[in-house]
Amino acid sequence: MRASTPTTGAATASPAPAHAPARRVEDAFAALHGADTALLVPGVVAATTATLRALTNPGGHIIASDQTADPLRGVLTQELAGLGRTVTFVDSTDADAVLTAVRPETQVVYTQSLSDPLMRPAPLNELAIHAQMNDLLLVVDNTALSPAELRPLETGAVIVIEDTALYLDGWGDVGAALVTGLDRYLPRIAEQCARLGGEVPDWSAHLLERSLSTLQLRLTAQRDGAERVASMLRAHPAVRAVHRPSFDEAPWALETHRGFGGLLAFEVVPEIHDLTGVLAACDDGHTPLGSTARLPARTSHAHLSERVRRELGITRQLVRLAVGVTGADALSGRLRRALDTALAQRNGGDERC
Amino acid sequence: MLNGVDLRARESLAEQIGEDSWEAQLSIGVAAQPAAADRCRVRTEPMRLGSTRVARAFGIDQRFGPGAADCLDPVGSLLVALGASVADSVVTELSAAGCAPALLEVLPCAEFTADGTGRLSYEIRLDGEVPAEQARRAVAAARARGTAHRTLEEPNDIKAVVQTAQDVHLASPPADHDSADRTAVRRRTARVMWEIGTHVLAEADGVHAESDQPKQLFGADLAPSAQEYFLAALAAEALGFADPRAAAPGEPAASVHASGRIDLRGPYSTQDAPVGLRNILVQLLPADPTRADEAAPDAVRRWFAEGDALRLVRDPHPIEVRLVLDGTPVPVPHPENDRTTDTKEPHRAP
Repeated sequence: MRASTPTTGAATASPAPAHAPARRVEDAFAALHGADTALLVPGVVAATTATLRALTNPGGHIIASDQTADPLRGVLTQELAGLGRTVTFVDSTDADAVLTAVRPETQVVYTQSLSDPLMRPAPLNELAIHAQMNDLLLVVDNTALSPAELRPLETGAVIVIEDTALYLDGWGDVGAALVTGLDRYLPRIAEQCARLGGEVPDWSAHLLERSLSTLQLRLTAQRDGAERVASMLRAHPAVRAVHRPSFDEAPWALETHRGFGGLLAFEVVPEIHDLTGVLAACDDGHTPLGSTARLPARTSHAHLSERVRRELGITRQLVRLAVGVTGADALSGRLRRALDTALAQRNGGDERC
Repeated sequence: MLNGVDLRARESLAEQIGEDSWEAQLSIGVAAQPAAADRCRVRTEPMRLGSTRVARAFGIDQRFGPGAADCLDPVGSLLVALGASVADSVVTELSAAGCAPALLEVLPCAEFTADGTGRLSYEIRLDGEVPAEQARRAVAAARARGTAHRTLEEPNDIKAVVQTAQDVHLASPPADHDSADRTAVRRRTARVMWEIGTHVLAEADGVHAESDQPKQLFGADLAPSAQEYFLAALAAEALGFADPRAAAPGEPAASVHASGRIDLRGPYSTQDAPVGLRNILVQLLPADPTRADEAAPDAVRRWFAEGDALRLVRDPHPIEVRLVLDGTPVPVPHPENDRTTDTKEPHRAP
């Protein structure tokens, strides 16, 4: 982690020289969000932990999105609690629910701009107004949208965090995170990052810098691809629900969003238990710019009990799909055939019964 | 960073609050409730700092009056607040000049005459490589920008509200007493030792305490701030006059809430703004707020007339300042005779 501004406190790591790859990435990322400065941090959990520690005091309270998954959820409930902070998890797509959770000691509202895997967009405009009226700081994890789709600072957020894994690093080579926001808060975050330790290697920063230059192009392709795949899924009888936001469902997003990225999720009908074929159909052979799929109930949300998962809407039939830059039509075809097969097997099984 | 003082962050804050005056407003509050026969527990409440909140959950045990015990009394708290605030101003000024003192102690003292009128003074002890001229500048900075110094030196209107069936609003305008030539019959002292940054260790009447600023104001969140000690003194003393009885389990107890506001442009920036604590408000919630008798308002009126801590905060007090550098007293110009220096750099940000 490096601090890229001369205002950074002396307790932080030394500022990187202007020509250093890390500094160039930070500057490029800050520019994408319309900010002046940014921090390159080794990992999104470290970045979020440092941010929440920096913006709260012992005795402070954080309102966090209930879609927050492990390992960050564990940090919020255990490590931060040990440091005197309390956390309340709420549905951050419901601004009233956030408002209800505000206490006198609340300092920060933390939310994802698009919840993953249920793909519910957070109404950042509304959340920012509530936050400002209550003297709270709005921190947004914008990983699922990237600055190509949404710039949360323009809606009133004070800090934006993004994991490089999904969009910023197109080739999947770099495990890091970037933090940007109002200048007055970044030195404190940099100080906390320095305490957590770690540094992103220059070569990784160099790779990231190259990827950032193509972000807009990649996101345009991924967004279009995701829309086509979602259309196919909505029409398929094996699919019970498709989680993919649209401007029809969230017209308020027309003011703030350019689109909803390349993520979507879908639930197959409960009678289909074996999703191996569906997952295999989404696999592009692990090509860097290809699509990937996973079952949240068995991966990102496996640490939660079945009851909690059900409350959150994460069923065992939910598939989370990240559509790649290329091959969306081929993916649609493979996925349709896999779903047809799964449906036929189910019908065949029914007949046998 | 020198002496744990982040000068660049202070400069950033000074710039920011210079541009956005609403970001300079710091609201502080504490709430006191009886804890035992002769003492109460004061809890710090979340501060409002501009458009953000500072939430710290500290508790300060306070006695209602003087006497041997294991926690501070209201006057003791005021002395700790004064020492902590002065230490903060001095070390910031020295850090800006590149000086790293080996020792910084502040010895505040309050003396009371027979009629209860108070006199205030403090001695600053500095050891280490600090030039005398720089030490004098640091003293001038404490006088000019020290929140506690200015609050105690200047008159303050203190307002009180008794929250009964019909709220009773009371005000206590400052009175100007000349106690300079009268003999002191009581003397209270404290010793405040600077640790690092805004963190100080203090001792008053054998009771140990700590003070630190929140990290938003360049501290480390280790203890209540000087301003919180200030308000804790007022809240505890008011509660001692109003209803010091600890409630039986399950029964409501009286409580006192004290709040104030600081315009950070005074202590932190170059702008000409009030430095001291302002808008001091004390709210008393009696154990039974439905009773509409005069007992609670009368208790507050008695506090206005007799409270030592209240009178120290409310009434103006010229504060005598002494400087001891490496064990040798150093003359400090009286502010009245040092007007040239003062007007040249009244609120210079470090």
